[in-house]
Amino acid sequence: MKALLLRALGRFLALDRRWIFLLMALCIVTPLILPIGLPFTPDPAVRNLHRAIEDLPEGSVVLVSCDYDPGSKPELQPFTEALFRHLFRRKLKVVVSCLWAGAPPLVNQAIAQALEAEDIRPLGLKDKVDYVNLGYKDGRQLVMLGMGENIHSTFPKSNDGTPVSQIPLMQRMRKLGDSQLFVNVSGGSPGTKEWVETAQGRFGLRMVAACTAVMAPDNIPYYEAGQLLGLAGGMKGSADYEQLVGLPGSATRGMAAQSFGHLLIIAFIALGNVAFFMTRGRKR
Amino acid sequence: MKKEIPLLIAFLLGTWMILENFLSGFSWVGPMKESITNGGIVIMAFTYVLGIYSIVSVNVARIRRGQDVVPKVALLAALALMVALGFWRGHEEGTPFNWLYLNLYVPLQATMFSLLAFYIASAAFRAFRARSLEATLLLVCAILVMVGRIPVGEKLWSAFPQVSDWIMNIPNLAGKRAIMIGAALGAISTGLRVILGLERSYLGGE
Amino acid sequence: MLDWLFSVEALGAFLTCFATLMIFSFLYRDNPFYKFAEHVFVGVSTGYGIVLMWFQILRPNLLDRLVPPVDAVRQQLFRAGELAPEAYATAPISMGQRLAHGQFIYYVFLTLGVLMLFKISRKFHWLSRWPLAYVIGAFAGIQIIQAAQGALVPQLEATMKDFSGRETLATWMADSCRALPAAELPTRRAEQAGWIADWMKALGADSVQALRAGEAWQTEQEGRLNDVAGLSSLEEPGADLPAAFKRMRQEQARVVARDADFEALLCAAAGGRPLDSLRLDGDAAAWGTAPWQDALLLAATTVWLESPATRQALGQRFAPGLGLPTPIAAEALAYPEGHVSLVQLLKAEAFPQSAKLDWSLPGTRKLADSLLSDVNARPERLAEWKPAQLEDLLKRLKTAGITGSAAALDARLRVFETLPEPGRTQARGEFLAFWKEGVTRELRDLRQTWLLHTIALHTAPDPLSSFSREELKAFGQDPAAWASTHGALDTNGARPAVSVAKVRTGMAVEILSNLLVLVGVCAGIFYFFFSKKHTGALGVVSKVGIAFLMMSFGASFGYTVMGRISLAIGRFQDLLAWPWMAGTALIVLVVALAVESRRARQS
Repeated sequence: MKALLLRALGRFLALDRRWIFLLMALCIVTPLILPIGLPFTPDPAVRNLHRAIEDLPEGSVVLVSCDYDPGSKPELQPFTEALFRHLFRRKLKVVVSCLWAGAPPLVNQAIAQALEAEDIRPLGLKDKVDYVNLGYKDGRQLVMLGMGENIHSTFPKSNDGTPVSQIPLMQRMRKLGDSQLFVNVSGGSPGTKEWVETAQGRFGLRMVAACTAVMAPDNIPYYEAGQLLGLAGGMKGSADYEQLVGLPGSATRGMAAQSFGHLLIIAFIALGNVAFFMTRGRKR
Repeated sequence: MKKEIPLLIAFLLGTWMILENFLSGFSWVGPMKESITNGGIVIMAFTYVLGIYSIVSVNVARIRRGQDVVPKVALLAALALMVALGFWRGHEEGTPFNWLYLNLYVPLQATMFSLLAFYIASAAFRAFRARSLEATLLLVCAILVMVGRIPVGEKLWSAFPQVSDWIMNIPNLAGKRAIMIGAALGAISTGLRVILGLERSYLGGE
Repeated sequence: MLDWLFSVEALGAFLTCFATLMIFSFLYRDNPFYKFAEHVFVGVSTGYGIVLMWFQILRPNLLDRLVPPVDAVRQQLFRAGELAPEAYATAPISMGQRLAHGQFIYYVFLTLGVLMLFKISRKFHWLSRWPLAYVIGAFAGIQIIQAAQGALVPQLEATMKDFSGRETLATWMADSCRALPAAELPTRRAEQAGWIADWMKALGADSVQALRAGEAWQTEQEGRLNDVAGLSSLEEPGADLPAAFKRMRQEQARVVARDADFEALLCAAAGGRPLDSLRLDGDAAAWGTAPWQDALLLAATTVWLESPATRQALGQRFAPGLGLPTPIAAEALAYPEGHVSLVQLLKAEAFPQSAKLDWSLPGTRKLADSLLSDVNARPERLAEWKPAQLEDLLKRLKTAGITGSAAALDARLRVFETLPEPGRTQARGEFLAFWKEGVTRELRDLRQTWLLHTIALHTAPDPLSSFSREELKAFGQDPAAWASTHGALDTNGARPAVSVAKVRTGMAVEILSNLLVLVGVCAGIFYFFFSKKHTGALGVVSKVGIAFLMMSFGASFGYTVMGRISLAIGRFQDLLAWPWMAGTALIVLVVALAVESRRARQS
């Protein structure tokens, strides 16, 4: 009997990994097809991020640096979309720059989506007066330092090729320090680490960040040291923010699938360990 | 000439980047800082040209040798198509270039990254074993964090999020901070080695 | 449906699904379709990079500086007084002039960039070291400052925390104050300072310490008050006017536009044309139709004008276009924010009720509409209006035919009139009753929640206690979720219902946590840096260090799993957005894979 069990376990350990892939896919797809609304509490760090935006007086300029690409779109795009809705609704002026080549079209998409929302449309926001996408610049920390000195010189033209001298909003925004809040949406490097270490302290920025889940634990020390006023990590961070802003979107919808995915991984770790220790004991 | 000038350039630029922090009160520093950072941005853009050259030359060579002809030709064709569309109609919203970005670049890249979700599941099953006390600690923390970050975990026990927060804000903070401090000291010393010309690997052979 | 099937959108959807599935097919096994998709991706991303590199870096940051565009040269000439306003739009600019206006230093950067390309050459390979040294040297310097200033110092500082627990206390105080609307801070200040002192005494701190804590808190709140409330803080009863005003002036000085800048700003709004070439007065009827005029007004009202003369002059310029009497137009322009300026203007005591706004002009109507949306977005602003002024505005809006917004305002006005002064707390109840009866029905979706959040954030010291369960349910809100979103800070007005015992526990936990972090950081650094053999006491310390590091790696691992799964969720969300397309793509791919494997077997 015991031998039979052990053989079964041994077989189980040698399971074709494609079955595992299939299980994973099912765990993700099922809750997406049959949505289950599961309530969740926003993380305190995300709440602080939300508060940093709520605390701004109307008309303040917020600089958003979108440093990610489609590779982290599911984690960060929901945040960016909710962020623009939130900023526009609060009547804040938004300047966007990108250090990643893949970002500018995603930014445009998020802005366009926010502008079409029914609470934003009546505000009649205008491109280059209320918001502007400055586009992409390569050069990592050099760009940050350049922006700290003179954004007009680092970004002589916006994403669509308009000279900054002709952008009304940019007349209020000459260097990083002119922004009342700096939001970094980061998918890797250059990203939150570089912005915090190179620009936050040096130019005295009030800074919050949303980053991928992989980066979040590494960014905790910045948040705990007060260098970041708020931090949203991964899709859960985006879902928290969506909830705080009252705009449940794709991140919130993905939370059930996230739950089952995690549970599956945990089950795999547990099963794998049980089977491993039982078979190992026998070998000895 | 072949070595001294680059070493001098690196020394001057590195020293300047440190010194400008202490000189920001002088009016001439601002414009100079602007020029130097802009110069760096321009020069770095040219490295991209090198990257393009190497991609094209490697693939053309492969095609000539008759290896993987279809995919390599597809690569070059996709590259040429993007460049042609970009220069023909621009890169703004609503252009064919943008359309290809949204319907080809986005799904391809996003899906490639998402493959890892499946491999991590397979690795969870085969590789993550609590063989020692340290490994057990790692796995337990990982599981607690995973459970604390999902709505189901919160439903099972309302304190799971707090537990995961505690792990993030205390042990994780301590570990990451130790690494960060260590890395910062390392970065300072390698930076100094480059500026002083002790570290010259970027000069290549000869 | 058939139309959609043959649209570009459908093609895009199919391409998205097919590309996604081609990559996913790798999970089944390595196959030519995956390989194809992988290569296409490299090609597309490189091509994309080339286009962006040219349009966003090389052209604006290099080429335009070597050969400035005609407009830029014209502006430079105009500013230097070498170009008359009337000749601005037509003056011919030669290539020579453009080259002469280029920046010489960029030829150096161009040369260095070109030298970079010599990396390919066998013979002149060494030339590429110059630009490389530029970049590497610069980054070496940046790295040193970055590591020292951005990581080392702040992280060490954050580790060496105060162990008295006073930080916890300060955090609690700050939190409880944040829940207050900014406008209420001055009246609550004395009261709060009082209970801080009480707390400190109860906790065993001496009276001097208590006093200091209270003072420090007051100073912080004053700063916050002025930051948050801005202009309106000056109007609050009991505000320390001279101090608040001084701070505001400092803030304004920061955003003051000098005359030269301002002119550039107006030129910018007009698409680069000089101000004098614009005929404003004659275009009054066309206001709002010419986009640059709109931009001009907004640009003009976005800056605070320091000089009264400029303000007056601009008022004269804009008066006909705005349909405002000249002095009022000048006043309007004097406020830093366009939209807010009209609010300020209309509610100002000085605004003569008899002054005629020309509501028939589209520009005025637009401004009024944005003004109303301002009120819509932040209902608490209504408290700043005088009933008579609102009524007057309402009448004007009605005659101007802005009925939609006017109806909403009308309904709100009815509520407002019943409010006693200052009436914010009261206002909440009234707003609720009002929204339940009328407007709520139209705003049942997201806006409703948003409004509740706004009200909660701005009208009550404690959001949770400010709504009863029944009220929340009437709005379709889950009380538990609401509590978790807004947190329950206090249930007893301004004084947080945190007992001294609870504060003590909190402080003990905080001290313990700080200690743990300190131990963890030290042990971790120790483990990394001491290459001596780790035995005895050293062994214990390094074991502790390893334990902390392992726990942090565990956290990282957990988050990595989370991130990877999120990415997969995103892909499936995209596929499920077009289930039929995804299904079709899947069938096509499966058939193709089957055909391919059969062929492979045959050959």
